[in-house]
Amino acid sequence: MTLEATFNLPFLFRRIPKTNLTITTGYNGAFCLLEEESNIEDLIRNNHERLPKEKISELEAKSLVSTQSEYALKASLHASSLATQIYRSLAKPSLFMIVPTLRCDHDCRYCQVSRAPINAEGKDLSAKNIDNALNLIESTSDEELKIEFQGGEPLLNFKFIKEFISKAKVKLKEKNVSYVICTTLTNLTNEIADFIKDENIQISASIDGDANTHKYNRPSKYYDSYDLLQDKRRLLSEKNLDSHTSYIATVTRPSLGNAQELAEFFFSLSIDSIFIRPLTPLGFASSTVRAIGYTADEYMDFYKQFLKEIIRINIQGTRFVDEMALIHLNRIFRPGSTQYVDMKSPAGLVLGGLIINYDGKVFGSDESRMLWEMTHSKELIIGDITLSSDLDFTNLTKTLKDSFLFALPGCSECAYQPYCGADPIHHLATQGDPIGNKSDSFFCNFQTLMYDMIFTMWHNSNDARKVFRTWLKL
Amino acid sequence: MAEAIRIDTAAIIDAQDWSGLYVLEKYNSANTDIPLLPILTKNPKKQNEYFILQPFSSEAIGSIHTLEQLDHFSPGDIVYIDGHHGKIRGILNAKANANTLLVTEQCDNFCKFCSQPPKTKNDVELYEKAALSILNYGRNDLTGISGGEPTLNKNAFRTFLQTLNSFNNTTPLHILTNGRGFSEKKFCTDVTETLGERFCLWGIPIYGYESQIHNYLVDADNAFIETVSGIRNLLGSGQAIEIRIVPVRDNLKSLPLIIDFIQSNLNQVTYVSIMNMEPKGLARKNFNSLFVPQHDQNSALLEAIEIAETHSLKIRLFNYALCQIDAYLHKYACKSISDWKNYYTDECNACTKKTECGGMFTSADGRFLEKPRAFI
Repeated sequence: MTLEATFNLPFLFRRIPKTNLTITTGYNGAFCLLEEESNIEDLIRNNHERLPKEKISELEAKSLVSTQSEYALKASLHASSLATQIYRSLAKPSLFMIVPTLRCDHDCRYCQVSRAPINAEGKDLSAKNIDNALNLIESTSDEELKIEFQGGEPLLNFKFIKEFISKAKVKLKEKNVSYVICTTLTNLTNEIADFIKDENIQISASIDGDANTHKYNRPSKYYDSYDLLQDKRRLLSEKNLDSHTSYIATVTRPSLGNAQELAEFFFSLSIDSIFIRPLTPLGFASSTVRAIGYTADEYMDFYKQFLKEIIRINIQGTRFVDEMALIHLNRIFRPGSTQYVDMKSPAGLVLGGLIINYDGKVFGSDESRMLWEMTHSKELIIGDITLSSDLDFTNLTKTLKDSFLFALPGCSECAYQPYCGADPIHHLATQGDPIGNKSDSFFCNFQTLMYDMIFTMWHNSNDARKVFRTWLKL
Repeated sequence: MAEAIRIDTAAIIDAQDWSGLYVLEKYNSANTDIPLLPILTKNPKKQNEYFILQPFSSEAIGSIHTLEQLDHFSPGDIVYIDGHHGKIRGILNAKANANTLLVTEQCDNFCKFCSQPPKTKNDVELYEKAALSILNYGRNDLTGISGGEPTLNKNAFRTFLQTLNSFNNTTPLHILTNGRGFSEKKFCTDVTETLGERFCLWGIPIYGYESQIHNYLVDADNAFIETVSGIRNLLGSGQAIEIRIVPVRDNLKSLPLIIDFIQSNLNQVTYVSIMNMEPKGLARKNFNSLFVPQHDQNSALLEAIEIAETHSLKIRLFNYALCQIDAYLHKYACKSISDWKNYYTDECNACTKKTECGGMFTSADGRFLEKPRAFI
C-alpha cells in the first residue's frame, strides 16, 4: 500500500440491485467489488482515505486509481488495453454459417422464419454454389475458422454437406477448420453418424427438456420428436460420438417455474454441459409472445434458480458446465478469449461471422438473415454466392461504426461495457433502430441481469466461485 | 559450497599465455565467413594434452594440459581458458540444460537480492565475446543473455544484435533485462526492428504492483515506471515477455496484487515466473531481512496461482523444492536451476520425487539451506 495519495482513473460503476455491492470496472477489463454502500461515493469524491486500505491497494493494482507519479503511465496502459480490445474485435470473421436447406421436419414454437415445410421446393442450397461459397470463405477468413451448418434442418440436405466438406478439405487445406452441424438429430442415420466420426464434426443438438417440454416447444407432424431424439442419442452413443455432441436448450414460458427440474433433467442425460438460452424475440405474433414469451426479469428469475441447481450438482462432485454462464465468465476473466458474436464491440455483425442462406444470399449474422425473411430489406444482404464470391457490406458500415460500446447511449456509462457487446440487428429488429433504447431492450436487460447475477454470486457464494473457477480452468 | 550436478570447469596447467575463447574439437557452423575462434583439440597420443590450432590449420601453435578429463564438454562447445586462474570453463555447452552469456556486469538497478552484484568497470568487450561465442557455436538453441543490465549500454547492445545479424545468425535469445531502457520508445523500435524475425523472449522483473515497493527492492528511483513503460512498449512491438517476480519478505503479501497488476495492465505477456531467491551475492548479505522460507510462501503462492488460473495467465514457479511447497503447486514448479549450480542433498537421494524436483542451489548450504521435508 502506497503512502502517496491516490486519484481516480476513469472507471465505470453500478450498484448491483438487491445487494450492498457496487461493481467498478475499468476500460482495461479489471473489476473491483465494493462491499459498503458508502464506498462508491467515497471513491468518486476522491475520499480514498475512507475506503478500506486493502480496497485501495486492489484498485491501485488494477489501475482504477493511481498515485500522481504513476498517473500518466496508468492512463497510457488503459489506452493500450482499449486499443488491444478493439483490435481483437476487428479480426477477420471466424464463424461461417451455411444453411443447406430451409426445410425442416419440426414446427418449433419459437421458430417462425427459419423453416419451410419438409417437401417445399426451392428451399435447398444447390451444390453448384459450393465453389463460390468456398472462395468467399477462403478470402474472408483467417487461419482458424469454424463452419457451422444450420437450418432448417441441415441433415435433410446431407448430400450438400458431404460434397461441401470434401471440396473444403482441398480449398481450405491451409487453414485450421472445425465443422459443426446444428441439428434436431431426427434424420441421423448410420451413414451420417459414420461421416461425422470420420470427419471429426461436432454436433450441436437441440433438447429443450423432458418429453412434455420438448414436444411442446419442438413438435413434429411426422413423429414423436422426443422419442426419436432419444433413439438418435442412443445411436450417437453406439457410435462413440458422445464427445462430439453438445446440447442446446431454448426456454419458453411454461418452463419458467421448473428451473430445478429442468437442470436435473439435463444432468440425468449424462452430458458434460448444457447451453441454455432465452428466446430470440424476432418475428413473433403477439399471441405467440403471450404463450411462450417473457421479460428479461422473468427469464432471469428462472435462470438464477437453474444455475444454482447446476452449481449444487457440481459441488456434489460431477462436473457439469453451464455454457451460457461460462461465456459470461470468459468475457469477465479472459479478455479476448471468446469470439462469441453477440459479445463484441464493435459488433460481431460481419466482423464476427457470416451466414450463407439457402438461396445463396449472404448476411452478416443469423439475426440479419431472420430480419431479412421478415422485412426483405435489401440493405441486409452483403453478397450472393449464386452470382459471385464477392462481399459488399458498405450498407452496414454505418451500423458497425455505431456499435462501439464506449460511444453508445446506454452503454457508454454501463459498468459491464468491458465485457458486453453491441447487437445492432437485435435492436433494429425489435426497436427499428440499430442503437435502440437500452432500457427497453431485451438484449440489454438480459445481459445486465446476467452480469449482476454472476458478479453477485462470485462475491457472495463460495460454492459458486469454486465451480466457476473449475469451469474457467478447462 | 555444495557440488553441482554438472561441473562446467576443469583445472589446467601451462595455460598462462592462452587465455581466451576456443571451440572444442570442431566447428558446428558451416558458415566460415564468421570470425572463427581457434580450436582446442585433443592430442590423440597423450592423455590430457590439448593442442591449440588456428582456423583451418593442422599445425599446433601451442598446447595446454588438463588435470582431468573434459568429458563434460562436447565437440563444438565454446570454452574459455582462464590462464591466470588455471581453469577451463564452458561458455556454450551442448550438455547444459541452459546456456547463458553474461554481456556486462554494469547495471542501473541495484536489487537487494542480486546474485551477481553489479560492477562499474568498463567491460564492453564482453558483448563482443558473447557474439563471437554464439556465431562459432552454430547451434540454434535458445541462448540466455544476462548481465548486469544487457541494455544499459544501448550502443553496445544494438551492435551485439547487428553483429549476429550481419552473419545471418538466427539463434533465439532469452534476454534478461530490467526493461527500463525500452521506456524510450525510439530504443524499443530500434531494437525490435534489429531483431526482425529472430525469436526473443524478454525476462523482465516486476517486484511490486506500484513504484514504492518495486523501487525500494531494486534500489533505484523511477525504476517501476520505466520498467512497466518498457514492457508496454515491447508488447506493443509484438515482443514476447516473461515477467519475473522474486518474493521476499517485503513483497510476499502483495504477490496476488502483482498478479492482478499484470493481468489488468499487461495481460499479453507470455509467462509470469515466480522465482525463489538464490542465496548468493547480495541475497546472502541481506539474507536475514529478505528470506522467507518456501513453506511460508505457500498461501501467497496459492492465492497468486488461483488468480492466474482464473484469468488463464500462464504462470510458473522457479527454484522451489517440491517438499517445501503445497502439493497443489507441484504442477507449476519447474526444474529451473541451471545444472552447474544445482544439487540435491543426501536426504534427497531417498526421495521418490527427486526426478521431478528442481533441487537446490549449490549456494544454498549451511544456514542458507532449507532442510528437505518429508512428504506426508
